[in-house]
Amino acid sequence: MTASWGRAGQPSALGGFAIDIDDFEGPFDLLLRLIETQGLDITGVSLLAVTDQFIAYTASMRDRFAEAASEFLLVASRLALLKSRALLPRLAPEDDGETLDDLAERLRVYAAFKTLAAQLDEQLDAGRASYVRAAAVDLPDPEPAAGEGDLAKLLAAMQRLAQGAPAREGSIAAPAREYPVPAKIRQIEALLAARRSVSFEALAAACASRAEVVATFLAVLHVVTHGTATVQQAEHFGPITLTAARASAPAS
Amino acid sequence: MNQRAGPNAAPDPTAPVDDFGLTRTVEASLFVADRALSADELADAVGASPAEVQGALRLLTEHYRARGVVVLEHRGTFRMASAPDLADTCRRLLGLGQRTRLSQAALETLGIVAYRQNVTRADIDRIRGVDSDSPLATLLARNLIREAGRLDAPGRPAIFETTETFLAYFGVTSLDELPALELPAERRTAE
Repeated sequence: MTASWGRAGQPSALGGFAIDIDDFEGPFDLLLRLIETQGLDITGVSLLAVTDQFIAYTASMRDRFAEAASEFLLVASRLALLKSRALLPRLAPEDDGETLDDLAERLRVYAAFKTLAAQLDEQLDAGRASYVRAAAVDLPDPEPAAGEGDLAKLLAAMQRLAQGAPAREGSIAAPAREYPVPAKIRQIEALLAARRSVSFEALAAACASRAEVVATFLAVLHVVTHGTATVQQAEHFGPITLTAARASAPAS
Repeated sequence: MNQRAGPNAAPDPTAPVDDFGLTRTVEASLFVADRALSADELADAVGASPAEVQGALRLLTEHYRARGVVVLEHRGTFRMASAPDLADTCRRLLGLGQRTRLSQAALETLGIVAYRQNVTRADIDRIRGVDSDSPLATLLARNLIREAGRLDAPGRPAIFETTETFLAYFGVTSLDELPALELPAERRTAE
């Protein structure tokens, strides 16, 4: 075999490996030289066929298999790179950008920061920390100037409050005072003692306001959880009946 | 300039009244400020030269070294804070719970920002070898880092620096007190 692609002076372990594909017939390493120096179009070379033929070739090998395989990989990887560059032209400039040295350097830098992260973590474990004062204590809004107040507006606001103008949603303070739940409980207990059962609709119908209905409902819940009465409802949205649980009524 | 911070830690009670006048003014300014102030800002506020203010700041830093309050110095800005070793008491007083820990990814990212300063997202990704979006977002949300501007390069990427909260969080009074970064010998960035 003529000048081998492998190291000079050493007989190639791939010496007897020749390939036979569409555009080329001959020693394997010659294929690479033709592509690199003579402009043979690599896109027409089937790397699959080349690899298949190499595998077939190794089947007949008695020794030096590892050498042959590594020499083949050296050439084949070069072929794969050349072919991928030819097919994906944009890859070409990038893969020359970073050398192995750059990569090793990057790994060392990253290792340094990884060590540092561990040290910072220990620093946190030490429990040391500083705290700053929250903020300046000035009022956020300018104070109203003298004479800016409007007594009429203040009065109107107070009147709206007094008339129970629609309270904002979520406000529950007022009804609790107007219709104390404990009083409702006593009222319901008295009713049950006299009548044995009563419907919730009847109780609600006697209420003057929505707030009172709420107080009544809370009182019913209380009466039921304390075992003074049980509730029955035959169907969804049907009438709710409250019945005195006389037998097991606990002495309060 | 004519201000002498001096090698002695305790302020000299016989020091000229003028010196203390400026030092006290700077002290009051730091005390009421709700953010870190640069020497230039302080100089504007107290009507002295930045060099004089620097002297007063050195004096105050020395003075407070042994007190319950310290002067934090972060990249040329100054702020008063509680002494790092009193963290437990302060946390209790402020009603703060256990400190939340930072993930390994967040610590690495924070380390890179702290030791490199003014780094872009791409710089961090390059060192860590992985995408650092999520740790960056965490650190920004916790005010440990902030955007320090944009790099004059294609895409004008944002650059990040640490905040003085970072110092307070790690219980150090300046970046110099952080553990040394053992970088590989060659190609160390000069800074």
